[in-house]
Amino acid sequence: MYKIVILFVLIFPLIVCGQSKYTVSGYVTDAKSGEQLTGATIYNAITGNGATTNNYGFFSLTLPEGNCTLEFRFLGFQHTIKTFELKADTLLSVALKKGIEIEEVQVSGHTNMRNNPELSGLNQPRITMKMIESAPVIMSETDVLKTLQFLPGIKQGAENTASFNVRGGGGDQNLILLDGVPVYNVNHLLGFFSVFNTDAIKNVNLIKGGIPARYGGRLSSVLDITMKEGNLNKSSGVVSISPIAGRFTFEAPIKRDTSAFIVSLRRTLFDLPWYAIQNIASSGNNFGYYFYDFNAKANWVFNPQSRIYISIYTGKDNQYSNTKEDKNTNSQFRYNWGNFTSVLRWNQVFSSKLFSNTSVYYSHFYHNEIGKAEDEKIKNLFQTSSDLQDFCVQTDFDFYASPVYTLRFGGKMSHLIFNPNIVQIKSTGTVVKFNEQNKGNANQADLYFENAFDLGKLKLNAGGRLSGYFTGNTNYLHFQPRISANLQLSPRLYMATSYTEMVQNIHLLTNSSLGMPTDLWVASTDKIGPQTAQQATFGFSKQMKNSYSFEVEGYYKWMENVVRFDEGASFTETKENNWENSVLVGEGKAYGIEMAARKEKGSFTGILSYTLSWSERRFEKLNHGNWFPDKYDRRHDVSVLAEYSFKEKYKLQRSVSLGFTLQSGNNISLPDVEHEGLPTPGRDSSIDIKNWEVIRQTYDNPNNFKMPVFHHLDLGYSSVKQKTDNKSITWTFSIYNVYNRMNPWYYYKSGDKVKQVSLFPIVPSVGFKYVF
Amino acid sequence: MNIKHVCPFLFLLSILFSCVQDVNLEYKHESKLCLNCILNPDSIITASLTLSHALDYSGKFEAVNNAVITLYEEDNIIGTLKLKSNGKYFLNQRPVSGKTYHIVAESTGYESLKANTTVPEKPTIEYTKDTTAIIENLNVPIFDLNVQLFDKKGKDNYWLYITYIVGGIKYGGNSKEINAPYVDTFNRYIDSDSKYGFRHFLQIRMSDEGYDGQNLEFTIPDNVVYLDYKAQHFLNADEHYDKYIQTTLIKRMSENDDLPFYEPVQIYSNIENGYGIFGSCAITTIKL
Repeated sequence: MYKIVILFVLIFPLIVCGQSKYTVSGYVTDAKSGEQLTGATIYNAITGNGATTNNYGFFSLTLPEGNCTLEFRFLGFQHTIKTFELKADTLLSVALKKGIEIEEVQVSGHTNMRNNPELSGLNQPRITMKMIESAPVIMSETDVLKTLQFLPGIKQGAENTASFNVRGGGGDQNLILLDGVPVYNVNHLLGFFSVFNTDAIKNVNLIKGGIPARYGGRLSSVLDITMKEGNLNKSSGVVSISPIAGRFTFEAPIKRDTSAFIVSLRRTLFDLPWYAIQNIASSGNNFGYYFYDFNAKANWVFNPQSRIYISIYTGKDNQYSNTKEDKNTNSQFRYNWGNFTSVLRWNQVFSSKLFSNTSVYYSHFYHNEIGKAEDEKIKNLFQTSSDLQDFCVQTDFDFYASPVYTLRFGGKMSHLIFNPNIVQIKSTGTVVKFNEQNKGNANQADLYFENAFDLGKLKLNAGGRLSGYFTGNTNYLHFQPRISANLQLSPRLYMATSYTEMVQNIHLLTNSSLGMPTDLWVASTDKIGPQTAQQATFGFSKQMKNSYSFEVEGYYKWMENVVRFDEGASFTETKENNWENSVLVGEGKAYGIEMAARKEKGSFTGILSYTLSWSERRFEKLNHGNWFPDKYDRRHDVSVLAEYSFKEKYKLQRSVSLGFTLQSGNNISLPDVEHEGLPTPGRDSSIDIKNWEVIRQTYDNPNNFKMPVFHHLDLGYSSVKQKTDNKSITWTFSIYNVYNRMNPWYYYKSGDKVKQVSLFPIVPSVGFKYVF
Repeated sequence: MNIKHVCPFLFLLSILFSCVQDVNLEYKHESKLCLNCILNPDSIITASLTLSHALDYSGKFEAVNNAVITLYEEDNIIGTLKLKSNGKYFLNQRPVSGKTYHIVAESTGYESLKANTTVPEKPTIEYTKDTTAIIENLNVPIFDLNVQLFDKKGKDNYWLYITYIVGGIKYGGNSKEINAPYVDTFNRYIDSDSKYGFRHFLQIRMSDEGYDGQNLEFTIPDNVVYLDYKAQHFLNADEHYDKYIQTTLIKRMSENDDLPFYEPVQIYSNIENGYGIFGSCAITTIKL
């Protein structure tokens, strides 16, 4: 059977290649900005053939010779129809104008066309920037990662943090890409905000099942975020402000229709008044905190076939304090962390059927803690630092062999440098360093291929990824088969299934799941191998006439070599330790069923979802080797994200939005039993024996206590006043946690009592945005 | 690292928004037997049997006096422990290094407890003393203790600690700082004022992992003896007692941290159907 499948995969493309006539290829762009549109659909009603633009707006569609009518569509844009006579391979670039389709359109075969049509809508939920920008969020600081948490199968970590868990996986198991570059820490301010500045983002693509072979490196999901490219036609900008941060974005052509750039800066504002007050007081003592993000991108269109992009992102959190007792005695403390990513990308259309994307990127995450104290006699320095650097070269090819077959293939090579938790203590005359042994390098090489078939009612993607990871004295080689299929059972009923195997060569050492900067990325070693996972999904979706759609999907995921800190090992330890000694290696399983009802067009849009899920872990050296529930094993999860847009009046667009979440509580480990204990050696006969030495407080299994049900309702209102064609003013008002639900953030013991800390009561806020 | 350094924002948020309230958690706990018994070839066999209780119960542990505790050596019964007093049992025999013991504790109304341990060998130690200084006003030498620990093949878990007597009162359980590659760092914390820049919480654990069967050489520096009695102990613990000590210390260290959201620690137990520990150790002592 295996051989037959391989034969089919190899031979079928050769058969279908001979069926093409002429190829129409090109780009679909935004008429206003010249930005390429990802996932726009191109449809030929006569043949029933269609295509979607790839991540770079490119499409290729082979059609019979003769009169040809193509319909171009993209959500939020007016559709465009092009009619021409096809008598040779044709390069066609189409610019779509913005415009919302308010009328509820009839559903056709065209409607289901999208990027990765073999994936179900639950494996690859559609996420639009409008959805992100209109979602009610705390402090009116729009956030990609928080919006995702309204989707089925995605659980947030602690309340209001950007960290998320997909289908029972860990927060570290999500591959988060910014312009194709992995971002290793996506959190600002304890994870309450993500590093992604929505003003600079063009597109968000999330895949949580049936992950195509072109993606690799994490077990649970891929979040592919693409920055805007820069306006090729004219200069424009955005100034926005929320109670948390101010943002400024400016984009302009360098040479009209040929090259453009965009820069975007976000910085916290709340620290500035405090900084000014301290300076006025000028006592020499000050402290504060801020974060910023800076994005820049430029692109050059050399010719219709060739284009180059360069983009960078840098962001940093910095906490500082300075104290000065007298002229010679002072101390300083700095705690900072951040990312730097950069990528040089080259898109080349070698022929109407062959598109390539080649990139070189660098990603760096670091955190430093520096304490200095000095007086006339002594100078002391204490420094801990971690960093992870990732250098990579990768290339991808899309070969549109025929209307029914596309071959995607490529590979990447990367070099990773890990320096986790290096401690240095300098005192007058002495220097002590710890954890030097934790430094390490690794090399990784990946090759992949995808065979994407569009067989009318059946869309199929079968491929594989070969991953080699070379570290220390051990080489890890994994082949990861990926297959997904979507079958149209009736005009509006679809069945989708997928099976994927994934490998993750790096581990995140954390036990907080808060997105702390102290979370350490470490490489697989000779002793601790890569994490692996297999996931199978199966589901149905039904599209209704009135633009409603319903989806249901089940999944089962097995995970091996998952890592967690050993009992009591802490994420803020500053001790000398080889991290391998502080972790346990085990396995996990997660399964569940997701349901969603969506409405994507019309004045009322939204998604209502429900997830029933289980997620468990097992470690041989913990809990007697028995299974126990994962921290985020939330059995039930109901989420609603909806928006109602009022009819435009006097160039004023208004909308109200609603977000509601109701979830089973997180699991936490909380001692619930006391028993007699034995003193540790040598303490048994000591006179100063303490209570803790003869009383043990423990629990039967980790995560034994389920926190109360978590829920909150958030409301938002936005009004957009279109001043001119290019200028608009947007006001957003939001109320987080409308009915002031005090959800527990954490528990702690104080004496004999257990105390609950809740962080977020009702929080109203207002935001402002000016587009010019 | 201090949490105040890591997340001042959390405290800022706490001040601005947070609400702290007492919660009454429902502890649904059904009492189980708790057996504590550590076999030591130098001592007769003793055990303690009590009942566990829910965390919110403030009374003492209830002793179990009606139990039948049977000890097996290599699957042969060697005796039934007798009640001494108040949940304390004994058997007037000494365990033997290298042998495996199985214990069964039965008490009406509770599930029977079962556990196993294999008694380890005593550490083989040689040592010399190097006087490095004299405390002049006391005329007491300060010396380094140079230790050679002849590790035997197989997994060994060494614990080092001192005991001493001052004015007739016993103290102990701490250890001098040791800087050797065999020292486990799980209870190490950084202290820039100390000799090596770190200290260990209570005992020091040494692992022979990577050094199995080798001669472990190290120095215990700066020993001073001006007390009634002072001794350096080298305890070899079986895997169960070893984990029990480790989790006990880790738990205590976590509680001492000022982290508001540290992860609690599950105390290790090898007792089937109950709590406690059935382990073993063998100790070599150097009188200083």
